[in-house]
Amino acid sequence: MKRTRIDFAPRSLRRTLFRTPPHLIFLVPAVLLVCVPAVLNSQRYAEQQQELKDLQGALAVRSAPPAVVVAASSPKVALAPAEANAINAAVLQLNLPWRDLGAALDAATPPSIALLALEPDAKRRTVRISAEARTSDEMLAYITRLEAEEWFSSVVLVRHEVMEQDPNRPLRFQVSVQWGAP
Amino acid sequence: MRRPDLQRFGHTLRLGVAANGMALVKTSRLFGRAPVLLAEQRLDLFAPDALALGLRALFADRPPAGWTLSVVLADDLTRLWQVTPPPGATRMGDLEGAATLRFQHLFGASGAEWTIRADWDAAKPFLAAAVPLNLLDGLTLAAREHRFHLVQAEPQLVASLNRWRRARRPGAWFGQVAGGVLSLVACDGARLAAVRSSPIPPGADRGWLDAHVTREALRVGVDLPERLQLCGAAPAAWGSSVGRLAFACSLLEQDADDGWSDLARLARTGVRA
Repeated sequence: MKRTRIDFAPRSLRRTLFRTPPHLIFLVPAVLLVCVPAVLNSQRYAEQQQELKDLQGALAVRSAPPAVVVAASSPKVALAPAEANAINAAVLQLNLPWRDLGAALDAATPPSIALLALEPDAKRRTVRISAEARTSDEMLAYITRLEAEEWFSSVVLVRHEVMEQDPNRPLRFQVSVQWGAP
Repeated sequence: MRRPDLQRFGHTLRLGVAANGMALVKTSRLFGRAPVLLAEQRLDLFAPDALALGLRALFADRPPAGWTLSVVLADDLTRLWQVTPPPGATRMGDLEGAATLRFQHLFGASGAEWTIRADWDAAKPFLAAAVPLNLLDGLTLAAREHRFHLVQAEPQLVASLNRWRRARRPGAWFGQVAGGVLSLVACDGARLAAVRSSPIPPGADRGWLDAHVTREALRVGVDLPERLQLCGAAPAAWGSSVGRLAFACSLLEQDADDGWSDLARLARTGVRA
Protein backbone atom coordinates (compact mmCIF):
# COMPACT_ATOMS: atom_id res chain seq x y z
CA MET A 1 0.00 0.00 0.00
CA LYS A 2 1.21 3.50 -0.72
CA ARG A 3 1.92 6.03 1.99
CA THR A 4 -0.93 8.33 3.01
CA ARG A 5 0.50 11.82 2.75
CA ILE A 6 -1.49 13.92 5.19
CA ASP A 7 0.60 16.26 7.29
CA PHE A 8 -0.42 19.44 9.08
CA ALA A 9 3.11 20.57 9.98
CA PRO A 10 4.25 23.79 8.29
CA ARG A 11 6.48 23.29 5.29
CA SER A 12 10.18 23.62 6.10
CA LEU A 13 13.58 22.21 5.23
CA ARG A 14 13.52 20.26 8.49
CA ARG A 15 10.25 18.65 7.49
CA THR A 16 11.68 17.66 4.12
CA LEU A 17 14.75 16.14 5.78
CA PHE A 18 12.53 14.37 8.28
CA ARG A 19 10.51 12.82 5.48
CA THR A 20 13.64 11.46 3.85
CA PRO A 21 13.94 7.78 4.79
CA PRO A 22 16.46 7.64 7.67
CA HIS A 23 18.23 4.55 6.38
CA LEU A 24 19.45 6.63 3.44
CA ILE A 25 22.09 8.07 5.79
CA PHE A 26 23.87 4.72 5.60
CA LEU A 27 24.19 5.27 1.87
CA VAL A 28 26.15 8.48 2.43
CA PRO A 29 29.57 6.72 2.71
CA ALA A 30 28.81 4.75 -0.45
CA VAL A 31 27.74 7.89 -2.26
CA LEU A 32 30.89 9.68 -1.10
CA LEU A 33 32.95 6.68 -2.14
CA VAL A 34 31.57 7.00 -5.64
CA CYS A 35 31.28 10.76 -5.92
CA VAL A 36 34.63 11.90 -4.53
CA PRO A 37 36.75 9.83 -6.99
CA ALA A 38 34.34 10.82 -9.76
CA VAL A 39 34.84 14.52 -8.99
CA LEU A 40 38.61 14.11 -8.72
CA ASN A 41 38.76 12.13 -11.96
CA SER A 42 36.62 14.65 -13.77
CA GLN A 43 38.93 17.44 -12.63
CA ARG A 44 41.96 15.47 -13.82
CA TYR A 45 40.21 14.73 -17.09
CA ALA A 46 39.50 18.44 -17.59
CA GLU A 47 43.15 19.29 -16.89
CA GLN A 48 44.35 16.62 -19.33
CA GLN A 49 41.93 17.90 -21.94
CA GLN A 50 43.37 21.38 -21.48
CA GLU A 51 46.94 20.07 -21.79
CA LEU A 52 45.98 18.13 -24.91
CA LYS A 53 44.42 21.23 -26.41
CA ASP A 54 47.56 23.24 -25.65
CA LEU A 55 49.75 20.55 -27.23
CA GLN A 56 47.57 20.37 -30.33
CA GLY A 57 47.74 24.12 -30.61
CA ALA A 58 51.54 24.07 -30.35
CA LEU A 59 51.76 21.29 -32.97
CA ALA A 60 49.48 23.18 -35.32
CA VAL A 61 51.66 26.25 -35.00
CA ARG A 62 54.81 24.21 -35.65
CA SER A 63 53.48 22.34 -38.70
CA ALA A 64 51.90 25.37 -40.34
CA PRO A 65 53.75 26.82 -43.46
CA PRO A 66 56.02 29.70 -42.50
CA ALA A 67 54.29 32.93 -42.71
CA VAL A 68 55.44 35.20 -45.47
CA VAL A 69 57.41 37.88 -43.79
CA VAL A 70 56.82 41.08 -45.54
CA ALA A 71 59.87 43.19 -45.13
CA ALA A 72 59.22 46.71 -44.32
CA SER A 73 59.69 48.53 -47.52
CA SER A 74 62.34 51.11 -47.23
CA PRO A 75 61.40 54.46 -48.46
CA LYS A 76 62.28 54.83 -52.08
CA VAL A 77 64.73 57.56 -52.90
CA ALA A 78 64.43 59.03 -56.33
CA LEU A 79 67.88 59.54 -57.90
CA ALA A 80 68.85 61.41 -61.03
CA PRO A 81 70.67 59.27 -63.68
CA ALA A 82 73.87 61.29 -63.18
CA GLU A 83 73.77 60.72 -59.45
CA ALA A 84 73.05 57.02 -59.96
CA ASN A 85 76.05 56.72 -62.34
CA ALA A 86 78.28 58.52 -59.89
CA ILE A 87 77.18 56.21 -57.07
CA ASN A 88 77.72 53.15 -59.24
CA ALA A 89 81.19 54.40 -60.21
CA ALA A 90 82.06 55.00 -56.60
CA VAL A 91 80.83 51.54 -55.67
CA LEU A 92 82.93 49.99 -58.46
CA GLN A 93 85.92 51.98 -57.32
CA LEU A 94 85.40 50.81 -53.77
CA ASN A 95 85.07 47.26 -55.03
CA LEU A 96 88.44 47.48 -56.86
CA PRO A 97 90.61 44.43 -56.00
CA TRP A 98 93.47 46.48 -54.61
CA ARG A 99 95.06 43.63 -52.74
CA ASP A 100 95.33 41.34 -55.80
CA LEU A 101 96.43 44.23 -58.02
CA GLY A 102 99.13 45.27 -55.63
CA ALA A 103 100.40 41.71 -55.18
CA ALA A 104 100.61 41.17 -58.97
CA LEU A 105 102.46 44.45 -59.52
CA ASP A 106 104.88 43.74 -56.66
CA ALA A 107 105.63 40.35 -58.10
CA ALA A 108 106.21 41.73 -61.60
CA THR A 109 108.15 44.93 -60.81
CA PRO A 110 111.90 44.49 -60.50
CA PRO A 111 114.04 46.98 -58.49
CA SER A 112 115.33 48.61 -61.72
CA ILE A 113 111.86 49.92 -62.58
CA ALA A 114 110.63 52.99 -60.77
CA LEU A 115 106.83 53.16 -60.50
CA LEU A 116 105.63 56.72 -60.82
CA ALA A 117 101.84 56.44 -60.87
CA LEU A 118 98.96 53.99 -60.96
CA GLU A 119 95.65 55.13 -62.46
CA PRO A 120 93.04 52.35 -62.10
CA ASP A 121 89.84 52.37 -64.13
CA ALA A 122 87.44 50.01 -62.41
CA LYS A 123 84.80 50.26 -65.08
CA ARG A 124 87.14 48.94 -67.76
CA ARG A 125 89.11 46.80 -65.30
CA THR A 126 92.34 48.49 -66.45
CA VAL A 127 95.15 50.24 -64.70
CA ARG A 128 97.51 52.71 -66.36
CA ILE A 129 101.04 52.36 -64.97
CA SER A 130 103.54 55.20 -65.32
CA ALA A 131 107.14 54.11 -64.67
CA GLU A 132 110.79 54.89 -65.52
CA ALA A 133 113.51 52.53 -66.62
CA ARG A 134 117.20 53.14 -67.35
CA THR A 135 117.05 51.37 -70.71
CA SER A 136 114.53 50.18 -73.21
CA ASP A 137 115.60 46.59 -72.53
CA GLU A 138 114.57 46.94 -68.92
CA MET A 139 111.28 48.46 -70.07
CA LEU A 140 110.59 45.51 -72.41
CA ALA A 141 111.66 43.00 -69.78
CA TYR A 142 109.22 44.62 -67.41
CA ILE A 143 106.39 44.43 -69.97
CA THR A 144 107.23 40.80 -70.54
CA ARG A 145 107.07 40.07 -66.82
CA LEU A 146 103.73 41.85 -66.60
CA GLU A 147 102.38 39.70 -69.42
CA ALA A 148 103.65 36.63 -67.60
CA GLU A 149 101.49 37.45 -64.58
CA GLU A 150 98.31 35.35 -64.68
CA TRP A 151 96.28 38.02 -63.05
CA PHE A 152 96.72 40.35 -66.04
CA SER A 153 94.92 39.45 -69.27
CA SER A 154 96.53 42.05 -71.59
CA VAL A 155 99.42 44.48 -71.35
CA VAL A 156 99.71 47.37 -73.85
CA LEU A 157 102.58 49.88 -74.04
CA VAL A 158 100.75 53.17 -74.51
CA ARG A 159 103.69 55.57 -74.92
CA HIS A 160 107.32 56.00 -73.98
CA GLU A 161 109.90 58.83 -74.18
CA VAL A 162 113.45 59.59 -73.06
CA MET A 163 113.64 62.34 -70.45
CA GLU A 164 116.32 64.53 -72.05
CA GLN A 165 116.41 67.14 -69.34
CA ASP A 166 117.30 64.50 -66.75
CA PRO A 167 121.10 64.01 -66.59
CA ASN A 168 120.56 60.19 -66.34
CA ARG A 169 118.27 60.28 -69.35
CA PRO A 170 115.75 57.71 -68.02
CA LEU A 171 113.13 56.17 -70.22
CA ARG A 172 109.64 57.12 -69.02
CA PHE A 173 106.77 54.97 -70.26
CA GLN A 174 103.11 54.21 -69.71
CA VAL A 175 101.57 50.74 -69.81
CA SER A 176 97.88 49.92 -69.82
CA VAL A 177 97.19 46.65 -68.07
CA GLN A 178 93.81 44.90 -67.96
CA TRP A 179 93.05 42.32 -65.33
CA GLY A 180 90.97 39.28 -65.83
CA ALA A 181 87.23 39.00 -65.66
CA PRO A 182 85.93 38.37 -62.15
CA MET B 1 30.16 28.04 19.17
CA ARG B 2 27.38 25.68 20.22
CA ARG B 3 28.45 22.07 20.27
CA PRO B 4 26.18 19.59 18.49
CA ASP B 5 24.04 17.49 20.80
CA LEU B 6 24.91 13.90 19.93
CA GLN B 7 21.90 12.70 21.92
CA ARG B 8 19.67 14.14 19.25
CA PHE B 9 21.43 12.38 16.39
CA GLY B 10 19.07 9.80 14.89
CA HIS B 11 16.38 10.51 17.48
CA THR B 12 13.15 12.40 17.43
CA LEU B 13 10.44 13.30 19.92
CA ARG B 14 6.84 12.32 19.43
CA LEU B 15 4.06 14.14 21.16
CA GLY B 16 0.67 12.55 21.50
CA VAL B 17 -2.15 15.02 21.96
CA ALA B 18 -5.58 13.85 23.06
CA ALA B 19 -8.58 15.53 24.63
CA ASN B 20 -7.62 14.18 28.05
CA GLY B 21 -3.88 14.71 28.06
CA MET B 22 -0.52 14.55 26.33
CA ALA B 23 2.46 12.24 26.30
CA LEU B 24 6.03 12.66 25.15
CA VAL B 25 8.02 9.77 23.70
CA LYS B 26 11.59 9.60 22.41
CA THR B 27 12.04 7.40 19.37
CA SER B 28 15.06 6.26 17.42
CA ARG B 29 14.73 6.67 13.68
CA LEU B 30 18.17 5.39 12.83
CA PHE B 31 19.14 2.62 15.19
CA GLY B 32 15.80 0.82 15.65
CA ARG B 33 15.76 1.19 19.42
CA ALA B 34 12.48 0.85 21.27
CA PRO B 35 10.64 4.11 22.01
CA VAL B 36 11.01 5.55 25.50
CA LEU B 37 8.22 7.30 27.37
CA LEU B 38 9.58 10.59 28.71
CA ALA B 39 6.55 12.25 30.26
CA GLU B 40 2.81 12.19 30.43
CA GLN B 41 0.44 14.99 31.35
CA ARG B 42 -3.25 14.59 32.08
CA LEU B 43 -5.38 17.65 31.34
CA ASP B 44 -8.57 18.88 29.76
CA LEU B 45 -7.50 20.12 26.36
CA PHE B 46 -10.62 22.21 25.95
CA ALA B 47 -9.84 24.35 29.01
CA PRO B 48 -8.41 27.82 28.25
CA ASP B 49 -4.68 27.76 27.44
CA ALA B 50 -4.62 24.07 28.23
CA LEU B 51 -2.27 23.22 25.36
CA ALA B 52 0.34 25.86 26.24
CA LEU B 53 0.23 25.08 29.97
CA GLY B 54 0.33 21.35 29.39
CA LEU B 55 3.33 21.63 27.08
CA ARG B 56 5.20 23.82 29.58
CA ALA B 57 4.61 21.21 32.26
CA LEU B 58 5.62 18.42 29.87
CA PHE B 59 8.85 20.15 28.85
CA ALA B 60 9.71 21.47 32.32
CA ASP B 61 12.34 18.81 33.02
CA ARG B 62 13.55 18.25 29.47
CA PRO B 63 13.61 21.32 27.23
CA PRO B 64 13.04 20.22 23.64
CA ALA B 65 15.10 23.06 22.11
CA GLY B 66 16.71 21.93 18.86
CA TRP B 67 14.85 18.62 18.70
CA THR B 68 12.61 17.57 15.86
CA LEU B 69 9.12 16.82 17.10
CA SER B 70 6.26 14.88 15.54
CA VAL B 71 2.75 15.32 16.79
CA VAL B 72 0.14 12.59 16.73
CA LEU B 73 -3.37 13.93 17.16
CA ALA B 74 -6.01 11.68 18.65
CA ASP B 75 -8.74 10.91 16.18
CA ASP B 76 -11.39 12.53 18.39
CA LEU B 77 -9.63 15.88 17.85
CA THR B 78 -9.68 15.53 14.10
CA ARG B 79 -12.12 14.75 11.34
CA LEU B 80 -11.42 12.04 8.78
CA TRP B 81 -13.46 11.30 5.72
CA GLN B 82 -13.38 9.88 2.25
CA VAL B 83 -13.64 12.13 -0.79
CA THR B 84 -14.57 11.01 -4.27
CA PRO B 85 -12.92 13.32 -6.80
CA PRO B 86 -15.42 15.07 -9.09
CA PRO B 87 -15.51 13.62 -12.61
CA GLY B 88 -13.15 15.47 -14.94
CA ALA B 89 -11.27 17.16 -12.09
CA THR B 90 -8.16 18.69 -13.57
CA ARG B 91 -7.09 21.28 -11.02
CA MET B 92 -6.14 21.16 -7.38
CA GLY B 93 -8.95 23.61 -6.68
CA ASP B 94 -11.51 21.04 -7.89
CA LEU B 95 -10.25 18.49 -5.36
CA GLU B 96 -10.07 21.06 -2.55
CA GLY B 97 -13.61 22.19 -3.31
CA ALA B 98 -14.88 18.62 -3.30
CA ALA B 99 -13.15 17.92 0.03
CA THR B 100 -14.59 21.07 1.64
CA LEU B 101 -18.11 20.36 0.39
CA ARG B 102 -17.93 16.81 1.66
CA PHE B 103 -16.63 18.04 5.03
CA GLN B 104 -19.57 20.44 5.35
CA HIS B 105 -22.01 17.74 4.31
CA LEU B 106 -20.67 15.15 6.76
CA PHE B 107 -19.92 17.30 9.80
CA GLY B 108 -22.24 20.23 9.31
CA ALA B 109 -19.54 22.83 9.96
CA SER B 110 -17.98 25.35 7.65
CA GLY B 111 -14.32 24.79 6.87
CA ALA B 112 -13.35 28.25 8.11
CA GLU B 113 -12.14 27.10 11.53
CA TRP B 114 -10.48 23.96 10.29
CA THR B 115 -7.41 23.18 8.27
CA ILE B 116 -8.01 20.53 5.67
CA ARG B 117 -5.32 18.31 4.24
CA ALA B 118 -5.76 15.24 2.09
CA ASP B 119 -3.92 12.53 0.22
CA TRP B 120 -5.01 14.24 -2.97
CA ASP B 121 -5.82 11.99 -5.92
CA ALA B 122 -7.71 13.08 -9.03
CA ALA B 123 -8.37 9.54 -10.24
CA LYS B 124 -9.74 7.63 -7.25
CA PRO B 125 -11.30 8.27 -3.83
CA PHE B 126 -8.84 9.59 -1.27
CA LEU B 127 -8.62 10.20 2.45
CA ALA B 128 -9.01 13.72 3.82
CA ALA B 129 -8.47 15.06 7.32
CA ALA B 130 -9.28 18.28 9.15
CA VAL B 131 -7.76 19.71 12.33
CA PRO B 132 -9.03 22.77 14.26
CA LEU B 133 -7.08 25.91 13.39
CA ASN B 134 -6.58 26.90 17.02
CA LEU B 135 -4.96 23.54 17.79
CA LEU B 136 -2.46 23.96 14.94
CA ASP B 137 -1.80 27.57 15.93
CA GLY B 138 -1.16 26.45 19.51
CA LEU B 139 1.36 23.88 18.30
CA THR B 140 3.11 26.42 16.06
CA LEU B 141 3.35 28.91 18.94
CA ALA B 142 4.67 26.20 21.24
CA ALA B 143 7.34 25.30 18.67
CA ARG B 144 8.45 28.94 18.71
CA GLU B 145 8.34 29.19 22.49
CA HIS B 146 10.19 25.95 23.19
CA ARG B 147 12.39 26.21 20.04
CA PHE B 148 11.73 22.73 18.70
CA HIS B 149 11.21 21.87 15.03
CA LEU B 150 7.67 20.81 14.28
CA VAL B 151 8.23 18.36 11.42
CA GLN B 152 5.06 16.32 11.44
CA ALA B 153 1.50 16.63 12.66
CA GLU B 154 -0.91 13.90 11.68
CA PRO B 155 -4.04 12.19 12.93
CA GLN B 156 -3.50 8.92 14.72
CA LEU B 157 -5.31 6.88 12.07
CA VAL B 158 -3.03 8.31 9.34
CA ALA B 159 0.02 7.44 11.45
CA SER B 160 -1.30 3.89 11.85
CA LEU B 161 -2.05 3.53 8.14
CA ASN B 162 1.50 4.54 7.30
CA ARG B 163 3.00 2.38 10.04
CA TRP B 164 1.25 -0.76 8.77
CA ARG B 165 1.09 -0.01 5.06
CA ARG B 166 3.52 -2.80 4.18
CA ALA B 167 1.54 -5.32 6.22
CA ARG B 168 -1.79 -4.42 4.69
CA ARG B 169 -3.33 -6.80 2.21
CA PRO B 170 -5.18 -5.64 -0.88
CA GLY B 171 -8.93 -5.62 -0.35
CA ALA B 172 -8.69 -6.05 3.40
CA TRP B 173 -10.28 -3.50 5.72
CA PHE B 174 -8.03 -1.71 8.16
CA GLY B 175 -9.01 -0.85 11.70
CA GLN B 176 -7.54 0.92 14.68
CA VAL B 177 -8.50 0.54 18.32
CA ALA B 178 -7.52 3.56 20.42
CA GLY B 179 -9.09 5.26 23.41
CA GLY B 180 -12.09 2.92 23.33
CA VAL B 181 -12.89 3.87 19.74
CA LEU B 182 -12.75 1.59 16.71
CA SER B 183 -11.89 3.40 13.49
CA LEU B 184 -12.49 1.45 10.33
CA VAL B 185 -11.08 2.14 6.88
CA ALA B 186 -13.53 0.37 4.59
CA CYS B 187 -12.26 -0.60 1.17
CA ASP B 188 -13.95 -1.87 -1.94
CA GLY B 189 -11.13 -3.81 -3.53
CA ALA B 190 -8.24 -1.37 -3.79
CA ARG B 191 -10.61 1.60 -3.61
CA LEU B 192 -11.13 3.56 -0.41
CA ALA B 193 -14.84 3.39 0.39
CA ALA B 194 -15.28 5.11 3.77
CA VAL B 195 -13.76 5.95 7.14
CA ARG B 196 -16.00 5.23 10.13
CA SER B 197 -15.41 5.58 13.87
CA SER B 198 -17.52 4.02 16.63
CA PRO B 199 -17.12 3.64 20.38
CA ILE B 200 -16.48 0.10 21.57
CA PRO B 201 -19.02 -0.98 24.17
CA PRO B 202 -17.65 -2.62 27.34
CA GLY B 203 -17.21 -6.37 26.96
CA ALA B 204 -17.41 -6.25 23.16
CA ASP B 205 -16.52 -9.68 21.81
CA ARG B 206 -15.93 -11.12 18.37
CA GLY B 207 -19.67 -11.36 17.80
CA TRP B 208 -20.02 -7.63 18.32
CA LEU B 209 -17.17 -7.03 15.88
CA ASP B 210 -18.83 -9.24 13.24
CA ALA B 211 -22.12 -7.46 13.65
CA HIS B 212 -20.49 -4.05 13.61
CA VAL B 213 -18.47 -4.71 10.48
CA THR B 214 -21.50 -6.22 8.72
CA ARG B 215 -23.54 -3.17 9.65
CA GLU B 216 -20.89 -0.79 8.42
CA ALA B 217 -20.55 -2.67 5.13
CA LEU B 218 -24.29 -2.36 4.59
CA ARG B 219 -24.21 1.31 5.51
CA VAL B 220 -21.34 2.08 3.15
CA GLY B 221 -22.77 -0.15 0.44
CA VAL B 222 -19.86 -2.51 -0.10
CA ASP B 223 -19.32 -6.22 0.31
CA LEU B 224 -18.11 -7.69 3.57
CA PRO B 225 -14.33 -7.87 3.60
CA GLU B 226 -12.54 -11.17 3.55
CA ARG B 227 -10.20 -9.86 6.21
CA LEU B 228 -10.03 -7.12 8.78
CA GLN B 229 -6.56 -6.03 9.93
CA LEU B 230 -6.58 -4.34 13.32
CA CYS B 231 -3.87 -2.33 15.02
CA GLY B 232 -3.84 -0.78 18.47
CA ALA B 233 -5.10 -2.23 21.73
CA ALA B 234 -7.64 -4.62 20.22
CA PRO B 235 -8.94 -7.45 22.43
CA ALA B 236 -7.09 -10.66 21.71
CA ALA B 237 -10.40 -12.50 21.38
CA TRP B 238 -11.13 -10.58 18.18
CA GLY B 239 -8.29 -12.20 16.32
CA SER B 240 -9.34 -15.33 14.46
CA SER B 241 -9.16 -16.93 11.08
CA VAL B 242 -12.19 -17.22 8.88
CA GLY B 243 -14.36 -20.22 9.76
CA ARG B 244 -17.90 -20.03 10.79
CA LEU B 245 -17.37 -16.28 11.05
CA ALA B 246 -17.99 -13.85 8.21
CA PHE B 247 -14.40 -12.65 7.82
CA ALA B 248 -10.94 -13.18 9.23
CA CYS B 249 -9.53 -10.70 11.70
CA SER B 250 -5.80 -10.36 12.18
CA LEU B 251 -4.27 -8.34 14.98
CA LEU B 252 -1.23 -6.44 13.79
CA GLU B 253 -0.05 -5.67 17.35
CA GLN B 254 0.13 -8.85 19.38
CA ASP B 255 1.54 -7.18 22.47
CA ALA B 256 -1.36 -4.80 22.87
CA ASP B 257 -1.33 -5.14 26.63
CA ASP B 258 2.27 -4.04 27.20
CA GLY B 259 1.65 -1.62 30.04
CA TRP B 260 1.67 1.56 27.98
CA SER B 261 -1.14 3.97 28.70
CA ASP B 262 -3.51 5.17 26.01
CA LEU B 263 -1.70 8.53 25.88
CA ALA B 264 1.71 6.91 25.58
CA ARG B 265 0.41 4.56 22.91
CA LEU B 266 -1.00 7.56 21.08
CA ALA B 267 2.40 9.27 21.12
CA ARG B 268 4.24 6.23 19.81
CA THR B 269 1.69 5.47 17.07
CA GLY B 270 3.49 5.07 13.78
CA VAL B 271 6.72 3.85 15.39
CA ARG B 272 7.91 0.29 15.61
CA ALA B 273 7.47 -0.79 19.23
